[in-house]
Amino acid sequence: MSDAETIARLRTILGGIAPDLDVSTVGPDDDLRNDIGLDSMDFLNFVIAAHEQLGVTVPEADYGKVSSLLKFARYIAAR
Amino acid sequence: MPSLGADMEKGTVVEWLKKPGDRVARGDIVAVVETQKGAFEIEAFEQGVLSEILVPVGTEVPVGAVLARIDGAAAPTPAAAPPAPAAGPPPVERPAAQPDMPRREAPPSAGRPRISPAAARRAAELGVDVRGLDGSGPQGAIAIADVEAAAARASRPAPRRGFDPAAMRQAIASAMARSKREIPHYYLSLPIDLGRATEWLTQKNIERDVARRLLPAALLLKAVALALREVPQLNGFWIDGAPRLSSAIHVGWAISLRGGGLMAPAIHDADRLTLDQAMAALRDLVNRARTARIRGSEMMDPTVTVTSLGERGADSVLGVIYPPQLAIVGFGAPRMAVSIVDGEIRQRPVVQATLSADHRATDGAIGSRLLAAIDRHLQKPEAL
Repeated sequence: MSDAETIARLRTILGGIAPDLDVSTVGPDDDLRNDIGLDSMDFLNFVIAAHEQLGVTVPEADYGKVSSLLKFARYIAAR
Repeated sequence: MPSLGADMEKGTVVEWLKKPGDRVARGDIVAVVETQKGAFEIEAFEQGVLSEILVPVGTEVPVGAVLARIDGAAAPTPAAAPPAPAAGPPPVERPAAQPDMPRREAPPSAGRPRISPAAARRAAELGVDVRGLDGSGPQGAIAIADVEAAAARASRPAPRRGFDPAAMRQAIASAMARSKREIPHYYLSLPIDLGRATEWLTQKNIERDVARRLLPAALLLKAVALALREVPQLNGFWIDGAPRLSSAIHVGWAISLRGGGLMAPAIHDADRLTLDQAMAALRDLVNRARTARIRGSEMMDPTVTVTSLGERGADSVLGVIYPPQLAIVGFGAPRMAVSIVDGEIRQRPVVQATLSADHRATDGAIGSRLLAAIDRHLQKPEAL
């Protein structure tokens, strides 16, 4: 899967956990916490949903490596 | 029309989920009511048969107005209607089935949904969860179009039901103005070393599945609830010139909404939850706040409020009490700080815990005991 495809899937997942967010406006480089405003509960829900739907397990220590959609996609590709 | 907070004067029925003749159990969601703070699900407090709807959809009525009659004697009590658990899973909500409509098949919960292979592939590509999707294909099978429609739905923001940011602002304004007008606040703060709690949590989370990870918020919630057991003078309300303490500890958890505004629905009996249950309750509450599925009872009965700014917030928060409650506990963002532990200088994560309390009901000595108890519980995370 290309980065663009993974990003599209991650964006769908993000829409599922943050229904009050217009995910079409979330850029690949936007920081999900600082720019988009996910709190720690939202971010955990995002990591859980990505685990369920993409099968990727992100340990807490790696949260910094998945802080944007692009970084998350590359993290998945590198696995 | 129940009062969903001190500041609520009226509400509008926007949906009836039961109709006359329907049997209702305690805890069943019977209606959706819109207030200044958005839409809330109203539960039945009695069981029986809904005999009459007195307030039609679209009608605004004052708090206290009778919305509908539930006749308890008109029908035999349903044998298997358990009372709704205070903090359990949301009751199954189902609009009353119309007799002239074909009954829709319930989505198979145990088996796999019927889906064409091509649609299943598309669902995997798009990351769509097909459980519970309605199928438009032969025999109700899920087709590619259904999957794509679901993906499109998921990528659009769902406006919060009945949410009007300006009305929410007004509701907050009136509650906070009343608080500052009527409640003589006193304020206390205590830096709490989160070193042990953080280490314990990190270790726990390494051992756990992603879905069972804990957040510091669960520890804070549990520590406050246990501390309130020891200092019950701060748990309850100021009503008619006197404190009215509550034996149940229902913690209102402040949730900031992305569309603007704030709500603090209750986590019921927080002191009796295990840490895992507390975490699950928090996740559930935040999710439902984001999708406007908070129940009326959760707005009505918090006995205290906790506001935690999270890791990206300010250092500390001196909260404004939500009337008629007696206290609000605040947590700032944990920061690394120089601390003296056992006579040695160490670098430790420290959180500023604060208390704003009603001076009519208690004095600072009681408040200090609460903060000290919260500290003590956070030093023994394994016992939370």
